[in-house]
Amino acid sequence: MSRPARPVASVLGIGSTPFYRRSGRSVVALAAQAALLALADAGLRVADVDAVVPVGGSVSCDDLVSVLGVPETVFDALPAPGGNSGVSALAVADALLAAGRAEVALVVFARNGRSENRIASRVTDLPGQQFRAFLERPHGWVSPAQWYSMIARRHMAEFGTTKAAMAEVALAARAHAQHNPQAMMFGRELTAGQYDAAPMITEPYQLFDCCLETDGAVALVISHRPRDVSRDVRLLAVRSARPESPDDLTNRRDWFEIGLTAAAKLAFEDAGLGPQDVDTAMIYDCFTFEVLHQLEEAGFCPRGESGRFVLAGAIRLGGVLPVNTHGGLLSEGHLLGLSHVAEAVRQLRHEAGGRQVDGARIAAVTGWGDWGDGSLALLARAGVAA
Amino acid sequence: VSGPLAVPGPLVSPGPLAARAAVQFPEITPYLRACAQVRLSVPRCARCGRLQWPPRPRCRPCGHDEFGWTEVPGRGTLYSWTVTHRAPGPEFARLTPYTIVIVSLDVPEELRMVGRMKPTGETPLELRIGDPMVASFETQPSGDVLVLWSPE
Repeated sequence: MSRPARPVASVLGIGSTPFYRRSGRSVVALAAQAALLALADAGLRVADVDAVVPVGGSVSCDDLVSVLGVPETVFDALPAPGGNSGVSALAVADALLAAGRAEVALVVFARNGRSENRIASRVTDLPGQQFRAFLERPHGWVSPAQWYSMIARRHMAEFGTTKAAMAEVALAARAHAQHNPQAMMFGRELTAGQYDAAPMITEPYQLFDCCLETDGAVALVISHRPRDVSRDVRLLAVRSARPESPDDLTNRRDWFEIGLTAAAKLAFEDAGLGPQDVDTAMIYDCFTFEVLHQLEEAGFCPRGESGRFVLAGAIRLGGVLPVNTHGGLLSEGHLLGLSHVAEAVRQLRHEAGGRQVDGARIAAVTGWGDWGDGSLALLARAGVAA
Repeated sequence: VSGPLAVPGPLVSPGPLAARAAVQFPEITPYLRACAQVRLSVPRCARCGRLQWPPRPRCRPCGHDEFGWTEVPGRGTLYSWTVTHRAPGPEFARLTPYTIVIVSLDVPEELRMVGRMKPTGETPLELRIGDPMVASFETQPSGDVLVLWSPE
């Protein structure tokens, strides 16, 4: 494996609030709690922070300066909103560090995504609003579940992908969440019968094909400074990209080629790794089919094969590629996938408790958002060469 | 091929969409006017001659920024669909269950349009990708004319 020419950043700290249905606290208060936990985990102080990356516009740098006392001279950069920004925020932080603009970057996501600012009120933050307002909303095509269900249907028709494969994604996530006391669905097992009997939302998606909505916050501290060689998790590569027409799904030539298709290829090249080197993957699981789609486009299985891949047990703990060991957006809660990065860090530190992937050395994290923006981050346990 | 104002005739049914489009998305106005006249019209690049959808300020293949508008047949094939059972917002509750389709138009560029299926008053139809589809122009209570689709 070839070593990247540039210095490699490390995730030094992670912090998270509980995953709430109703936090009863302001977004800024949630952000501050997660940030302080991440800094404590990194063994750093607020005064050490010289870059802030507030994910997805959920909270502003000014909020953090005001509430935490982050230095006023802090550099801030705001990734675009949408589900891709949990991982694309890592790319922004990595670039700031590599450019010498910062030594310690604080990446924060916070939202009262269930009690206050639910998905229906957030879709107007996304690109291409002229198409949404004039061509789509009048027909009642307004929600991510409806957009992505169209891709799922196409995949079912072209490759024979089944509802059973989607069920396996939901059931695996729920089974994993039973090992995660923080998960919203901890203690609430899901059977195949319950999955099948759940209300239809928008075909082919039933209730348990759809992610949770959550209040809470997650933060990461990223730096080039080594801290603790037994716990620092190295960010080997992170890339973000877009599909052909990122503002419109309908008139794209290839519906399965997404931002992740290009981003994954570049990230694996940057890291000198391939999909076969990955021990566990956190896949942005807004909906069950999107896990199948991304497994293919990231290269973990060939296009069209994801159904067979998951039905063979691949994504379960003990399988060839345990996926979303925390339960993911489907069963842990939806903190925009920054929670996926935090779980990858726990796995690589070997601090994941009852859901630990034995000997995990390399983890992948994907982002997915809007009409196919995508990203891949590759992280390594301290001391693992790449 | 001529400019966007060349779609002839009066603005038959100026619903709220047409009024808002004049400010927010003027490039869509000829389409909305054509719908009000029961015609399906799409932009054609004045340089490369290709049809495009949805309307953009520049031609995606060639980068040119002038378009004419061309009437196309309201026929195509089903590209994908979903039947929505749980309304994604209160304003859609009166419609459920409703089917949203993406139709590939019968033009060489394979433009795809999204639209609701015309209600049949019965349980949702069995659909298959590739089914032939036909457009109809339905005046909504708002005054907007929407292109709805039905199996041919």
